[in-house]
Amino acid sequence: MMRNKIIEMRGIVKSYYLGTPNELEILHGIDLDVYEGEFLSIVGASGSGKSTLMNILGALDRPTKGHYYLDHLPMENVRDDGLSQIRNKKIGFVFQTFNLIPRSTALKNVALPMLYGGVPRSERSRRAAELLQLVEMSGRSHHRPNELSGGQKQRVAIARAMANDPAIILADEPTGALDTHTGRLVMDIFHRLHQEQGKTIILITHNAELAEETERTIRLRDGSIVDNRMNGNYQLEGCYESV
Amino acid sequence: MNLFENVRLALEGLRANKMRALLTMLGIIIGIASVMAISTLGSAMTGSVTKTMDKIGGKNIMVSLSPKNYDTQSTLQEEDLITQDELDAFRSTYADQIKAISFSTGMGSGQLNSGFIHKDVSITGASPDYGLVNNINLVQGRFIGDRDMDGTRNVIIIDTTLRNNLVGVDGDVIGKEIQVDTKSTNETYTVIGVYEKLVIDNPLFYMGDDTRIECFIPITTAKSLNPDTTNLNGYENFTIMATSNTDSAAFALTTKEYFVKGLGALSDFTIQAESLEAMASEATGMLATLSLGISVIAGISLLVGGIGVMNIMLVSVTERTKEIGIRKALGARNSAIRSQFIIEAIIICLIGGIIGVGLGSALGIMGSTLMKFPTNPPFLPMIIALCFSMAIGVFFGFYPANKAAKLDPIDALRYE
Repeated sequence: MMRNKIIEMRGIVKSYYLGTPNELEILHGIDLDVYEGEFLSIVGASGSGKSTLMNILGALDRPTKGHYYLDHLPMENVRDDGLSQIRNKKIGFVFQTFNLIPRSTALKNVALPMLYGGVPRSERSRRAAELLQLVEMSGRSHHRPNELSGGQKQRVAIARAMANDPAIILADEPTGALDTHTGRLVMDIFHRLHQEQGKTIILITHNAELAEETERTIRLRDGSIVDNRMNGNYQLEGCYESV
Repeated sequence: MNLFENVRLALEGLRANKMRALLTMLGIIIGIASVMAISTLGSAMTGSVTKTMDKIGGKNIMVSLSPKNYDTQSTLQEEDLITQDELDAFRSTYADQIKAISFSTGMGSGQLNSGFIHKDVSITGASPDYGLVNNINLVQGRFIGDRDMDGTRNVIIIDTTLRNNLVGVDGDVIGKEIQVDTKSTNETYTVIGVYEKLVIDNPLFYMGDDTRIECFIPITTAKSLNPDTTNLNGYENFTIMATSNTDSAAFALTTKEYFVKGLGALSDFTIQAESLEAMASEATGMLATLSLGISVIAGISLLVGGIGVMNIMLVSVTERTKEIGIRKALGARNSAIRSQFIIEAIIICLIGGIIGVGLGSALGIMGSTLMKFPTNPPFLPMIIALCFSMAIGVFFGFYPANKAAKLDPIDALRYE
């Protein structure tokens, strides 16, 4: 039985300064499939097109050419408000710099995507509290980000990413601003979400060690995929004829 | 997006920047406060003018003969005077607009002597309608009647102060005889009534403290006693009391035209007819102009205040670029970001408006109390002021909010 293909990218090209003499092509025709429940890492040096790919994966940007299906939805010709809705419902972002709203409490931060998703107030609070419990942050739910440590902030951010039960969690260098110990704790949370909840997680990193922990690693160089391999003992069940 | 959440967010933001918020609001506060203060004062003044007018007879039209040219010494000729026949004809022509006509003539001042009591008084000869037209408040006895007039009786109406002097507060003065000496007469009068002096406690109508005691005698008696009076059958001045539904200003003009026709073309005299109401409306009209002027200045203050709000909102959008990026990444639509910032601008303006209304109302109440006519701030301008301050928020908040809404999420997220 085929596993559910949650991301399908075909010939994704991203260029900047279109139509000008210094037109710049960053991504040169990316093909990428991601299956439901996969823990995938994307690695590459800076300037390899990692961030650009992540922006397109995260519906923050549109490709110049190519087709992108997210959870079977074609992403071409989606208007700004449509992209907002896709980010809200299908994608959970985890950023290197946490990106919590400084004036809001941990609970409010976790509830924010649900607010934009039109979830009723009482349901928002209930689910936000539940998610904070999941990342073991219940005790600090009424603290503001500046009262939390880096690792705590990132745990709140992960809880926030889970708020609308997204199809994928897109984590951009989530341990980049943390020391090894807290970075380890954060990685453990991702593993737990992957194993216990079956979440599809895409980890963008330049840390080869962390990438080794995931099921599969995609290596980008100069805007093209140069490597796509399974790590360690991981095997995907009967779906990898295309690679 | 949830309105309540936006309001809460805006209030949180303002609390974080109290000083900045207050300074931003200042223009709005000053603008709204001055509008509120002036409209409270305005309604106090209009109210006090109306009240005083009712007291002293706002429907009265004062008609008098006056020289066309004050440089030459004109003497009033017998044929210039308005006769009783002319008046009767006038009265029957405009019967539906005239309530009463009264005549009076000043006799000058004199001294009242009664036993050991000596008082300075002034004597006015009045017709029976004088009491009605001038709102004389009789507390005892009666006013001058037709028989007093016909019989040129020596009867007199005195005021309560004089009564208290003569017989005390509880004493009965009716029927008592008093002697009044003027320059040319020494007459004894029988007291037939006591009136209470009208107190006008309105600084707008302040005419100095009149401590003289005015007494009334029949105008016929006054004329017969006054050696200066040359004519007994005509009038050089009188007061018309118009009915309550008459436009007394317009009727004053009609009256003037009517009697000017009656005067010979060769006469040195003309007719003056002035309505108290018109004089009062002139005063309130001036007030309206003043209010308009202050409103224009307040409008400029509101405009400047609005620009201040816009400026601070632009600063706020720049400061919170990163936050906007985060919100967009989490799925906020452009419209959600836009309404967040517009609501923040509205909240700033509304709080400014509320403070302004409070401040302006307090000033207005203080001012109207000083004017001895304490007035509650009018309700409608209050609502208009609040709505207007919200409109300023929408108008001046839109551009910054739209700028925020249109930010590219990637650029905004990357902003440090």
